[in-house]
Amino acid sequence: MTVARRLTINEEIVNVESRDDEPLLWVLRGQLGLVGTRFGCGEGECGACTVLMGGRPLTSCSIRVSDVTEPVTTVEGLASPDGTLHPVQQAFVDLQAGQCGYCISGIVMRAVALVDRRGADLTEAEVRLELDAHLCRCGDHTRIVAAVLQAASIKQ
Amino acid sequence: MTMSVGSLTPDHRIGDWLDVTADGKVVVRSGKVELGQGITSALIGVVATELGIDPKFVMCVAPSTEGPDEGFTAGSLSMSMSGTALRLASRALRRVTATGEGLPVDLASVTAVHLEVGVLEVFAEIDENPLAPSMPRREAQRTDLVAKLTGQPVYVHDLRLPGQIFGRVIRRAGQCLDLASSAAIDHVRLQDPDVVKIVRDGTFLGVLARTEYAAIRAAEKIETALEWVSLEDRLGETSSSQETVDRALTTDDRFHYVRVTRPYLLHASIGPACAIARWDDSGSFVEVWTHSQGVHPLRRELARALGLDVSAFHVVHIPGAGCYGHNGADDVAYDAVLLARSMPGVPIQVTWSRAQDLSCGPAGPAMEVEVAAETDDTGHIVNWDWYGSGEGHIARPGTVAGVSLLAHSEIQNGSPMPASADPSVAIGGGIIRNSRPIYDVPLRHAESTLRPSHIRTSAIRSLGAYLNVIAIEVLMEDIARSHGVDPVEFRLAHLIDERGIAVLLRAVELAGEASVGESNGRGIGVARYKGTGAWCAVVADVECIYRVQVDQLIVVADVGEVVSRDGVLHQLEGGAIQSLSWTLHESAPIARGAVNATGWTDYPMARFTDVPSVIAEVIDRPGEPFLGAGEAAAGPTGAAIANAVTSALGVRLTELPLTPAAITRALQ
Repeated sequence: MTVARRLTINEEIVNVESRDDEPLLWVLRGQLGLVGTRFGCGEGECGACTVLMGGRPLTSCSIRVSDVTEPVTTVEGLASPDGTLHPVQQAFVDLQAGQCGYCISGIVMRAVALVDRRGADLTEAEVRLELDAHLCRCGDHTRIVAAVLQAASIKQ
Repeated sequence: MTMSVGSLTPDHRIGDWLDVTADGKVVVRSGKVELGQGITSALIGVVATELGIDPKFVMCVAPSTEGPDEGFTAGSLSMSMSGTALRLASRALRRVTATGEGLPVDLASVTAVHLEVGVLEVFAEIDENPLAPSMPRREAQRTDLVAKLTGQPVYVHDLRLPGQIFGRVIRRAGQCLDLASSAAIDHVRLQDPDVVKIVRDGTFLGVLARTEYAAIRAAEKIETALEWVSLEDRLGETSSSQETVDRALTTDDRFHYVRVTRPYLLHASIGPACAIARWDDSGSFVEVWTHSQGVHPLRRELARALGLDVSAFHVVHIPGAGCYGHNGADDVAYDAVLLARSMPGVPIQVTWSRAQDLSCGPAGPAMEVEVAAETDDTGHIVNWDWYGSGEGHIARPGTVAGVSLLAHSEIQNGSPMPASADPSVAIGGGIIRNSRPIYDVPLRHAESTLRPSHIRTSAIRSLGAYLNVIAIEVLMEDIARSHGVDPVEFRLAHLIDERGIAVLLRAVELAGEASVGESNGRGIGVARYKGTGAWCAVVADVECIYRVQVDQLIVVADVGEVVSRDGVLHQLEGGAIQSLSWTLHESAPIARGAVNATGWTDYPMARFTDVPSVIAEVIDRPGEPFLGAGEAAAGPTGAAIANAVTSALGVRLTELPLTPAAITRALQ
């Protein structure tokens, strides 16, 4: 039984048609074609599908679309319309943080929320603790932590 | 020149490797695939350097079965094989276009005639070392990162072909479905309007649906509705199995011995295996999009499995999530081919579930290594023995007898999964990889035993090198301690390999006198990967009381000539951190003859709070052959951590991983 519903994704109102129990992840990757949100485990354990809802990070595989009540931001919604990268994305490029890159769109989303919240006060220990919600198999942890700290350091 | 050099054979024309487009860009055709390791930008750097042009004018086409057959992208061989071939092809292009020394090649002047010239013919007329660089280095930045960071469709998982639908297989590791319970299958089909089709052949079962979520939902419903039976005997017998020999070991103080073990390791890629297949309307030609390490070997295996000619298959590489060896990529490609056969003309994308990706693909084999050494009155090693045993390190398509694609053991007209084998000595071996110490010690006895497969095993990053280097380095440090000699001095007394000495001394120098922070243990590991690859030395500082926290890793390597400094450092850092994770955290749970892991809680890995700062450095050797960097740090890092733990606790731990439980056992 599908239901028509209206979501706010990346500051745009979109209409989707889905079952109540469909996880947000599959609505994003399916109907909306926003494939930057990656499927990793479907159980909220790896963090690859992290998006922001109302500015807070959450794994989009673990929330039913019917429970999405606030605006959602995905990795596709971070850069400016003119293509200028978000400072967190730019820091990842600068430090070449990411090998296979499968985990990084989720990590970037959590990092954006963290940098927004803590700004230049952010410490390395906090970054590590916060990113423990994510798995990275290529071993890019040190570069990723450094990139998040770099982005935080320039936050006003 | 009539000899092959790297992947270059005497019949190769320049145009087999390079092309120039009408708008003045260079197209690189390599058979080596991007696994997240950055090989594409390294190869672009090789070509840009040699042609003297900006890397932005060079691009790589996706490797496919229309391009060169370079086998598998494995064994840290991409730079020595493909990098060397591309350097020579590019230099040949310089020659045939009569480009002056130090000048860039004028791409507009390149003609089809130039591209027809045989690469090695160009060098037959001149006497020179074709490996020395002829132009200043130009490094290519990775071009894939921005796309990945902005959520572009870059992985095979993201590909959406016109008319594409989605498939899932219903499969459990070590079990097969009971066909008598199949009534449940029809029930699912009737209930869900998004389900297009259910495909069954023998015990191979898949579902096709209009959306990915519908496919997942239906597959889960079928899986729980069916009865499953255990399938412990599916794996074929290994004929080369042997019993372990008894070893009469003396306990003389001049005799030193260590036994180390590692458990089964999982690839544990963050993205599960995925592939797309599409048969043409006549059912005689199939296209496959895959993240396999070898498009040509996969194509041959698919042809063999289905009894068709290789010309019936076109296989294209599209990146997947990180690849660290023989994972489920080939298997899922066959799943997609089988499912797509039932719907000619329709592209079918198949992705494994998290549980399937952890448990159904091949695992890295468990392994055991014993090393023994005898020292003389001065404490110098005069005899060295090595015994290694374990299951096979290879079961890649085309390397073992039989079809090595999982679904072939399930379909009606298939065949049992072939037993895993051990790679030949020529490609570095598996169990024996790095069994020969880097040190100048007389090897008296070396013996390896290939045990029959209990579970499906195959290549995982560095194969046997990881555990062999740990065993050797743990013993070296043990002997040094027992003689009261500084472990660096002891190693240097047995090391004549100058490039090995250089990386060791530099790592020790970078580590300095003081250990980091609260660390109470320091350890060293050094090796030359495969005895023919990169040199690498690691110094680890750890805090260890009841659990191990690594505070710092120093990694120094010599990979020959450096093409991309940041690319090499990146591979060293990643290799070291993955090795840290194996060494401290990883062990695949086994039950009923299969991996028994359905989610990440079943297979803990290092997380951000477990990872130390990593200081990596590379010693550049311009003009020396490319040696590859991906696997060099695995053994030395594990060894350095194990030795640091010993130095902190005063007790040697030899059963990996070094978990809190293992520490408690060792201290009791």
